[in-house]
Amino acid sequence: MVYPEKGTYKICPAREVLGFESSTARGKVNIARAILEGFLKYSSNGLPDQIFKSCLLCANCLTHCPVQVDLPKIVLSMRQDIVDLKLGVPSQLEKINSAVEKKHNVFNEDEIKKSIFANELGLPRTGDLLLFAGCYFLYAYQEIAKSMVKVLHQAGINVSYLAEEEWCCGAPQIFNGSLATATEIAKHNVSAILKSGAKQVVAPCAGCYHALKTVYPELLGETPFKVIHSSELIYRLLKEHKIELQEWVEDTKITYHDPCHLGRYEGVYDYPREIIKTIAKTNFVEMQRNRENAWCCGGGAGGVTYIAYRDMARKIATERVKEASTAGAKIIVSACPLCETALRSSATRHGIKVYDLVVFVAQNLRNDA
Amino acid sequence: MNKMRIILEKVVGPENVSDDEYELIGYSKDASADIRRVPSVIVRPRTTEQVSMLVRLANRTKMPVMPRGGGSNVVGCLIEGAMVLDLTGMNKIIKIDEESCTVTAQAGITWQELIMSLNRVGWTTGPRPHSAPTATLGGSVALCANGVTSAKYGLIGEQVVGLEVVLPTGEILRTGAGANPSASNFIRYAFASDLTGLFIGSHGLFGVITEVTMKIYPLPETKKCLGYTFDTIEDATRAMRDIQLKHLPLERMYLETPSSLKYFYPNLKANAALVPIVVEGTEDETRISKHIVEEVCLGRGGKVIETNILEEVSRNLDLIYFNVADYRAFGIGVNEVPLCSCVPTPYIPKIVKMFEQICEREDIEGYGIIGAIDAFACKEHAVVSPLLHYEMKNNESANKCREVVKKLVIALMDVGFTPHYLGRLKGPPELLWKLGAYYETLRTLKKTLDPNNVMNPGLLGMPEF
Repeated sequence: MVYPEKGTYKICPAREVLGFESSTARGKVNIARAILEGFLKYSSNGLPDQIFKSCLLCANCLTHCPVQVDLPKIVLSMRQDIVDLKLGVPSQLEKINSAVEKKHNVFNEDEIKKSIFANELGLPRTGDLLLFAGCYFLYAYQEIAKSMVKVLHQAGINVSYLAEEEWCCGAPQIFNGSLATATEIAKHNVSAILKSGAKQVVAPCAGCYHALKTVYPELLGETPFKVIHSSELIYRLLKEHKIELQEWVEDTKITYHDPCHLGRYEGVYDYPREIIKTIAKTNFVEMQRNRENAWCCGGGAGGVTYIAYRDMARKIATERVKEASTAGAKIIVSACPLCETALRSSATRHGIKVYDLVVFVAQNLRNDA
Repeated sequence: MNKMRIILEKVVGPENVSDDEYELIGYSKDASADIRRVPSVIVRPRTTEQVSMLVRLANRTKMPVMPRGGGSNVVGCLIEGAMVLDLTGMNKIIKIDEESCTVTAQAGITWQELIMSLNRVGWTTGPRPHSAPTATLGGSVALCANGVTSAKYGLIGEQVVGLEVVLPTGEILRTGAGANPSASNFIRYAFASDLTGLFIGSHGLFGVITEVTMKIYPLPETKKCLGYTFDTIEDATRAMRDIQLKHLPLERMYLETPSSLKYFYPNLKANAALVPIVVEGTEDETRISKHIVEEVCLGRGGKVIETNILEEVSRNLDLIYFNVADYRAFGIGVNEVPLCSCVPTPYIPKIVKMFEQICEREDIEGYGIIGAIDAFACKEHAVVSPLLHYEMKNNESANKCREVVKKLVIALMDVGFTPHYLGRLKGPPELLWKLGAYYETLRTLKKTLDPNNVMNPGLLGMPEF
């Protein structure tokens, strides 16, 4: 349900792909109610899979619900119940959980790569400002973490990095119902961050940011360090003239995709936009559904949809990319490597490039600043 | 069901068939106070031809069929054990015809999608139901629903120009001018009998509505919200009546009684009644309309409400448009049962009185049920809307609500109540048989059109399957 001035009438990406009542917001609440009232058991044929499939936890429903029914929380609770009842998570998510338990990253990559990264860039293990690089840099997007370091060094700011002591933030486990695993991860990461002496932690990934800033305190209590997203830090550096950005010279429209866990969950809408507009000026265009109305990339919280329901993720991503195309954009910038991954293959088919915000900034730094 | 499932998957594809328990439970409720009625299988067709195949299959295999749109009806139209045709996948706009001022769309499109698509090209529908985000075109026609903007346009059924219907035996029928394949579907009354009327309000008993052609109107240039309070419901009703006789371009006109004011406008220290009005049109038209409305209302003892209250009224009307006001007024976990009926406007006070008397006699408050009643203009008449709100978690409250609904509709019939949709809750046998030859004719038509009784069997007192 959306007010007409917001320009859209679709709310749930899962519902748009799957269509059945069980994938609507109303249907998901009804399933939860039927379980509570004893009409339905979690072990009912196909139900556990449906509870993972039918919700991206994008919170578009909660944002627009006039009485604030917290459906993401309800779905998350159902996932936790399913894990507790040992009914299992989809096998692809089990692989992720297993990789995180053994190698502390979702891609099952060797942790030595973290040390190599730290040594290559000369990053100390302790300091006031800590980079929480996240798992993606280990797999395909090393440039996000490298770009963050480049921007900070250009601004004359030292940044530390935990290397092997940085474990996966636990977002996949938080969102696939594996709360016990997520709590262990959180305990480790908080302990490691405290040992590093960090007063501030900067996370370029929206998922890591939300996990560290909001979920960890829910699991473990308040933490003494401040967690900020890379967009907020870069915005501050710009305002303090510690970095300068050059103007975009090509006549190419650029748009911004709001990650769900940065936008709707954390209320961060303006920092990325101000940064992109500094570069793109009048070449910045908004998609019709933006800010709290942004259509999900299809990745799903913690990558659940992208990992376990790839076909569905692609359909949702394609709708988002078409929206960018309708807005005239040839470049989508986002602030979450999961969003960028989810959007990229569809975007390429539509002749649109996808950049991470930090990479975009690093590429457009003025070196004479 | 396994063999049936294989055949169904051949018709619509495996991704459009489900008999999973969790899915069936999802379709076992609608927005009404009716009990759970679990279907057998859910099928999501995408074309009229698929609907026809499915209905023919139901006839061959003797399976009940239940067409379903948004599931937002408030009167209960569920059929236990049915093959549910979830038509929400048939949601395309076929044609916006600016020459004939009509739009043709598949039955499963939501009102919100339809209205917003029309708005983009400068048009709109007449009545607009406040369940617009969920309610579908086909469902609204099958139940002859009303819209909050019925002041100028009347009930939804009055806007229908033609239909495409799959009959209970599977034939595909076009009514209105559309019966001529070479004609555009621009007018309802063509050739001979008005078959369109047969299916409006038919509760799915005579077939599956698959396409609707209805009238559209240019978007008005502007709107103005007005509001007047009155010392008595009688004064407010007379003012409403006088305004209706002026045939002004009103978007809507409500009459809120003390019981509805308490919940929708708790900050308003109203007298007995509030009449919010929205006039629409050009700047000149709205200015003149405002002047005439004010003259009438002040002449009937009305007082202009203060600007800040008017702003609240205006915001509330937007919220009512999307059914938000009700949820906010009554809270989570409370379901609403409206008992709408179109009546001659002067009947409003006696119906309000009777409603309040019955609610008191039945001690609804003792069961946690809240009663409220309001009305809104529907062309030269009014839709009176007695509302009962019960706690969904409280079975006793729900049961009592169902019982009181039945007593209310039967009692209100005696004072001229003519509900334009019935469902299970508003159409108990005692009411139906009061309708004499009208109801008997419906039963005869049902036997003729649906010899195997597959379409919504048992609804409106028709034979069970």
